[in-house]
Amino acid sequence: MTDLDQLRRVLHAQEALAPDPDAVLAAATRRIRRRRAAGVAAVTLTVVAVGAGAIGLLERGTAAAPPAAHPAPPAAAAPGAPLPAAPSISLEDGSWQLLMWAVQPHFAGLHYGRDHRYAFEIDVRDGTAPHGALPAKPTAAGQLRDPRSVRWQDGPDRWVWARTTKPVTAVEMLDLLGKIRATPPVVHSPLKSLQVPAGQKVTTFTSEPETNTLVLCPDPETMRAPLDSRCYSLFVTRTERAADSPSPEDPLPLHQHRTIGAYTIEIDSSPSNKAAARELLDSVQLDR
Amino acid sequence: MQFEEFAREQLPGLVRFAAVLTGDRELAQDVVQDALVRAHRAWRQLTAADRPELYMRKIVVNGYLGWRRRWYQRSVRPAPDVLRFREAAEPDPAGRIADADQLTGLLAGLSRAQQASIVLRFYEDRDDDEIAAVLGCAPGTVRSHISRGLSSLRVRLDEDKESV
Repeated sequence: MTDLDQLRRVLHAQEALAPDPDAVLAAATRRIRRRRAAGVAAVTLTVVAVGAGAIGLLERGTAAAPPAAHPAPPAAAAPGAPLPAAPSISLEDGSWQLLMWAVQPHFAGLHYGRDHRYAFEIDVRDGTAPHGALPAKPTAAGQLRDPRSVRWQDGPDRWVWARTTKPVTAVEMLDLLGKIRATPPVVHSPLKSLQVPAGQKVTTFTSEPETNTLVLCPDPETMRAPLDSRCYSLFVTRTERAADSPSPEDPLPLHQHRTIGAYTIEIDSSPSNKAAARELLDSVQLDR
Repeated sequence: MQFEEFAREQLPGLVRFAAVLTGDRELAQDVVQDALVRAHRAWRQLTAADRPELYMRKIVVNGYLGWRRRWYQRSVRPAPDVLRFREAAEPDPAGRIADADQLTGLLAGLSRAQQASIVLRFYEDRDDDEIAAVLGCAPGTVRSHISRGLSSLRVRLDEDKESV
């Protein structure tokens, strides 16, 4: 055991991580100015969009990708290949809102929120569940030692971990677990397609209503923390671009971006991959 | 007071708070930047708020509680962080002293609401009502967050000195 003074010391030591207030203010001010400028531009874009609507609908008709049978298919991506599909698992409970799903090799995760207070997460991982996990999905409340965190083997080479920050009884958690079904979640995220550079594979793909994150690396099996300099990190969002404030440790310090309608697409890469990153950025098509 | 003047006044404390909360310089920068942009958008409400500094912390905490870009890129992975946290939270019969590194690691393993409550209480010395205002929950929930958080951190509460 330790004491509160030590906790306070640890917390105060983290102050050293504080960013420079002037740099933060400068970047925020730039974003505020861009927002003002975008407000004027949006009026023009709306007028143009009326005329472009019919073409946009035709393009969207070709965008559908079939859901994957397995929750973790991202490593299969190649130039021109469809983006990773949603994992074949979801929580069917209207009181929980799906915030995002993510896939990586051997892993898929879904994150739900409720009332802006509680989280419910489902992880699906390849392999054998750790010691203490249930041999199968629980069917009785008495099986749940910790109702807020339940792990079970879900097949010969796959296990599931469901956990929540909401205080729940075993009966309530069992009820929630019963609502976890083998159907992919539906999220209408913006990214439609892109051309993955040769030799690159999807390391992480996330999908949420107005945002996608895609991380490409040559070898997703040997991920470094957080990324190595051969990777690309692509981010699509409706909100404005984050500040260009690379730290010396940033493995992908080169930031490029483009806008499509109300969306900004950012890509981070190493300087040596600038041209390839630009090509990747230019290949992005949105489902909007 | 103009927005920039307000921002300059608030920022030094706000960036430190965000750094302690997130334990990540870039994430702290992101959430404070976002908070400023949001604050600018809600400038009228902000100037009318009784405690604008709490309002700003509320925006920062909400940004942190949400799943943001950096988190996707760095934390959406099958990392054993939570498992480590859970293992460490088991009773320790040897009464092993948690060192600073352990404590930092354990802090990162707490739920984000627990982290925010702990930082607001033990870094910013906020009371239950202030923390409740920031988190948008009841003071009783704050006490629960802190109590559970301390328990997970294996921090012994000296009942004579502190009350949760």
